[in-house]
Amino acid sequence: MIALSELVQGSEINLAAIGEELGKTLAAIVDYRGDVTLNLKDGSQLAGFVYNCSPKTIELYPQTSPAPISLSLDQVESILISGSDTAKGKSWEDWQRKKSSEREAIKAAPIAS
Amino acid sequence: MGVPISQMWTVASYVLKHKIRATERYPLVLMLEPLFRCNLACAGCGKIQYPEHVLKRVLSADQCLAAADECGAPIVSIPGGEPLLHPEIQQIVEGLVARKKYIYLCTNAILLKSKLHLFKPTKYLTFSVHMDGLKHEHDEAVCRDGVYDRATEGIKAALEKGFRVTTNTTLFDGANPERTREFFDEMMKLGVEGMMVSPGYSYSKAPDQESFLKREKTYQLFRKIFHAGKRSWRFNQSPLFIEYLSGSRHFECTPWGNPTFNIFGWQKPCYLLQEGYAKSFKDLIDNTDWKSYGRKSGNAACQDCMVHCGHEPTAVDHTFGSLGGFWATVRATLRGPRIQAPAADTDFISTESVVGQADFVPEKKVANG
Ligand code: SF4
Ligand code: SF4
Repeated sequence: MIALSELVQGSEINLAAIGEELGKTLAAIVDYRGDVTLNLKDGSQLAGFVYNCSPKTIELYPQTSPAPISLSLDQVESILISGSDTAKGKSWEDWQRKKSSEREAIKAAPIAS
Repeated sequence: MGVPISQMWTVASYVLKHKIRATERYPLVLMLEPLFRCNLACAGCGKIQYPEHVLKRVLSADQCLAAADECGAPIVSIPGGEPLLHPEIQQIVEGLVARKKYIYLCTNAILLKSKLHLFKPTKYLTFSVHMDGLKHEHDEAVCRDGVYDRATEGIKAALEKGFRVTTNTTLFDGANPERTREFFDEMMKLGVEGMMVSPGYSYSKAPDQESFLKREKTYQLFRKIFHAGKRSWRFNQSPLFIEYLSGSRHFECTPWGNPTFNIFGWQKPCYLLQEGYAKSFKDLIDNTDWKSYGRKSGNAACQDCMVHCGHEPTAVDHTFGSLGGFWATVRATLRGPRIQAPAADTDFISTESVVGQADFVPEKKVANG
C-alpha cells in the first residue's frame, strides 16, 4: 500500500503489482491534491485530477476537457504522479516565518533622515 | 435585528415535519460549493488546494438549483472558495430566493462592496462574512494584510443597503479569549445581525496540522470566551451548540444534517472529509456508511472534531426532538447559554464524559449572555 505521504511527483504506481492494497492506494491517489497521468493499456495517456474511485472505476477531471470522465480500472496499466502537490509548502508556519522576516527587515532598515 | 421569525418558523416546522414522519436522516443546511477558487489563500484552508484547471471549474446555476431542489434543506449555505467570484452568483442567489431558501452566502468580503449591486436585500439572503478576529488576528489568519479593513468596509456597505449580515469565525489553537471577546464587541458595534463561531478542524490536507484545537483545549477556550458573556452579543447559531463547544453537553455528529455538494458530486460523509462522492442526494443518504463517522464510531478523523457543520444540526434536532431540548433552548435563548467557569489551566478537567446529550451538570457560575 502507498500512503498519501509517499506519493511524490514523478513516482509511478503499477496497478497489477499492488494486489489487495489497491483500494487503499487508490484512496491515497484520490487524496493527492495534484494531477496524475493514467497510462492506459491501449498505450494512450490521460492526464487529470482524480477525485473519486470505486473498486471498479476511477473518476477524474481531465486537464483538457470540461466534463469528468469515468474509466474502468481494467483499462488502466499504471498511474504516474505527474503534477505537483498543491497542498504542499503552504503552511501557517511558512506564513509566520515570512511575516517575522518582514518585520525583522523593517526593523533593520535604515531610517530615512 | 435578529433572525427573522419567518426563518425560525421555517426551520422549526421543517424539523417537526421530519420528527412526525420519523425520518431517520434529514438535511438541515445544504453546503453548496459552486467553486473552489478564492482570492485569498489562508493557511489551514483545505478547500483551495487543487490544480489550476480544477480551480477554474464551477457548478452552473442550473446545477446549483437542481441540487437545492434535490436536497430540500430549508437553508443553503454557499461557501467556497469565494462565491462572489462565481460568474453566475446572481442567478444562483435569485433562483434560491425564488425557492424561498434562506441563504448564507459565505464571503471573505474583499469583493462585497463592489458586488452588492448584483443582489437585492431580502430576508432570504444573508452575507456571512469570514472574520477570524480583530485586525491583527484576522489578517494573520487569512495571510494577507489589509483584509480586515476591506471586510469591515464591505460589512458597512451591505448593512447600509439593508442586507442581512452575519460573521463566521473559526478559532484555532492559540486564540486569545480576551481578544475574541473584544472582537465580539466590535462586530456588535458594526451592527451585524449575529455571529457564528466554530473551532477549526484538522484537515488531513491542511498544512497546519498542529494548530487546530484539540477537544479539551476547545472546552477551555470556549469557556473563557463565553463564561459571563455579554447580553449585547448576538449569535446566529443554536445556543445549545455554544454549550456543546464549552463542554456543558455532548452532541454526536450528524453529518447528513449539512450535506455538501460541489463539482465532484455529493461529498461523503461531510463538509470536511472527502471519502468519495455520490451521484445523487438519495445515493448519499442511502449508501454512506454513517455508522463509521462521529466520535462514537472511533473513527480517528472524528475524535477531535467539534465543527459546526457536523454538530449544529444535532443541536437543532435536539431542540425539536424532546421537551427537555426545547426548554433548554428557550432557557438558553432568554438567559444565555450555561457555561462553566473556566478552570485554571493547570487543573482543567472536562465534565464531558459525564454529560449526556440532554443532561446538564450545574456549574459554579452561569453566564448571563
Ligand atoms: S477565504 Fe475561505 S475559502 Fe478562501 S482561502 Fe480563506 S478560508 Fe479558504
Ligand atoms: S465528526 Fe462529523 S463533521 Fe467531523 S469529521 Fe467526522 S463526520 Fe465530519
